[in-house]
Amino acid sequence: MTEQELVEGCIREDRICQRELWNRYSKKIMSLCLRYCNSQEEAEDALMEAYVKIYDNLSKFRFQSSLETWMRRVAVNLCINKIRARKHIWTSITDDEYRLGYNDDAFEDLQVNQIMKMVEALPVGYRTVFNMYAIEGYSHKDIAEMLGIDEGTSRSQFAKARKVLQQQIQKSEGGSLAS
Amino acid sequence: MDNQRLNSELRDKLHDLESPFNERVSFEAVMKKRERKKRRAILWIPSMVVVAGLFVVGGLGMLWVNTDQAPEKAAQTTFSKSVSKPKFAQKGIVDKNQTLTLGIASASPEIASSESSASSERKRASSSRVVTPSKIETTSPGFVIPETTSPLMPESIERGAKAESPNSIGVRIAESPLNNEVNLPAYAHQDMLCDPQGLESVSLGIADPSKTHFEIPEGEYEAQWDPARLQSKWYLEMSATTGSRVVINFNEDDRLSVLGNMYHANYHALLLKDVGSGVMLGGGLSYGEMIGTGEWRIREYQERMNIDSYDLVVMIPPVQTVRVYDTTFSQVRVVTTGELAYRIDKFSIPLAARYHFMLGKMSWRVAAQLNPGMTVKTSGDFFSNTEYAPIQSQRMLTMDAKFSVGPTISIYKDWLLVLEPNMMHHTFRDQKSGKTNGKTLTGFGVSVLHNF
Repeated sequence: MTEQELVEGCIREDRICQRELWNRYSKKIMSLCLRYCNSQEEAEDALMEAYVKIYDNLSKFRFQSSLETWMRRVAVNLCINKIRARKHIWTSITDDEYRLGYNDDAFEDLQVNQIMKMVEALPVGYRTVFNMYAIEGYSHKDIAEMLGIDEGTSRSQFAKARKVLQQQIQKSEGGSLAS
Repeated sequence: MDNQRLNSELRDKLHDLESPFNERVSFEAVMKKRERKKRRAILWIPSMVVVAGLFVVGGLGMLWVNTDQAPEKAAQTTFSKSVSKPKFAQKGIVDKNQTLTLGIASASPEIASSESSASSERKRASSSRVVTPSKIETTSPGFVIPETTSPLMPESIERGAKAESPNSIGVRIAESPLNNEVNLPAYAHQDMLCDPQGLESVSLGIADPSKTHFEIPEGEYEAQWDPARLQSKWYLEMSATTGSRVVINFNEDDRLSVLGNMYHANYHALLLKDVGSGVMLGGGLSYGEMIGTGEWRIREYQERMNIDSYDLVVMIPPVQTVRVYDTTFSQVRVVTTGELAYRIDKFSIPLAARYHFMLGKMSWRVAAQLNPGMTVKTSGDFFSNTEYAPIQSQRMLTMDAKFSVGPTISIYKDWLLVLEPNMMHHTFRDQKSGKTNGKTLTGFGVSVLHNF
């Protein structure tokens, strides 16, 4: 079944197409939700809410990107709304802190699950910006707009996230990868 | 590794990662959730439709009432005249070519007594008979109603000939003036009566179409809006009320300030009893939601120390460089913000008092209500201008008070619409801290009152 057929079927409320959409992407969206949410339960709730939104709004999908990209965007927006509702306080760091060096080569040696666990363990602010910037590919400007923060705050959150990840890698590798 | 490489590396690793989820999460569960959401939306839509519908019905009702006022006024005027002017009635008896007007006026005691043998039977018959338009329309302008015509003759009714007997109408007017008020509106609403042609030819004593102005006896027109005139003393009231309030702290010196909005929606059903003098008392059930959203802001001053250093070259031999440190302190104002939201759902048992009164030609209602109740669901932080605190999750006692004043509009027989600008004070008691929180919100409500 092509993407177009799938979308058209879902708009028609065809249960087979709707189920196919679920089977095809639910685990990927779950992985995305896990990266943004604080717990498995919260991620599962977010996944279901995201799918409700997706089914309700599929008629607005214009095929300007892949269906998966659009679905990911819906899920990211939903997770961000949840984070915003949590009254998270965003703190800034100075540019000097931002320019601190890291040994990014360490990431190459890590398994996906390890990275995932490390990302999940990040504080919510770092994790959100890190996910959006490093994984989803949003620019700091977009992130700032979506989260209602300054662009500088987005940059600093990302820098801090990388720093924390660096420390965790050092810990997990027994300091062998430390700079 | 540069940033881009790191990011693409991560993206490759995490983008296509699939994570398993619990059994409770399934396609069926999503569909159920979607259904629930739709149902919730469906529940909201009717309440909005009901409110909109009430406005439309109210508007149409007003139009309908305005359209029908003329014949009703005319009917009341003429009948009151015919009852109060026996001389005119006598004239009617003398004239053999009398029209129905005169026939109605012939409701003099003499005529009534001359037909005393059938009077009791007629009384019964007149109360149950209905004048149909066809019967009246067939009446010719110069039609003479013979005095011997019996109103009880079924043939004359079936043939639709010669309209209602003047005597029977006369009896009804003369002997039961109260009945006229009840019977007249239905009588006056007949299509025929709206036809000037029919009015002129039959006359019927209802109105002179050439007259553009009718005198309405004082208090008669207004009286029909008075709920006290309705038959039963019991009323069912259904109401939807909304309100809002802006919370804002303008004092810049406060460390914490809140800027937010509060909204409430209340629905209730009440059973009211008219206890006389326009006063109604009753009780019922009420469901309310109170929602607040806002932003808190903390303004703090922080001491900051800046250390600048520069190298000073001392040109006196031996030439050397001295590093000089320059420390400055500054006070920076740091503003931290965050979002606030709360929701309180509650059920209550309202105790209501209503007072109806006339102001000009409009009926008004003052309503006061006390709603003791209990929270059903709470979440978030309740806020005031300068503070906020989490709302406890267990059930709390609530007490709301509502006051409203608004016009009452009759939308249909036994149905009244009340438009109510209102003020509602919401309170809830936090048992843990022993603190009572509350806010007064102002808004608008619509009530429908049914007399049954």
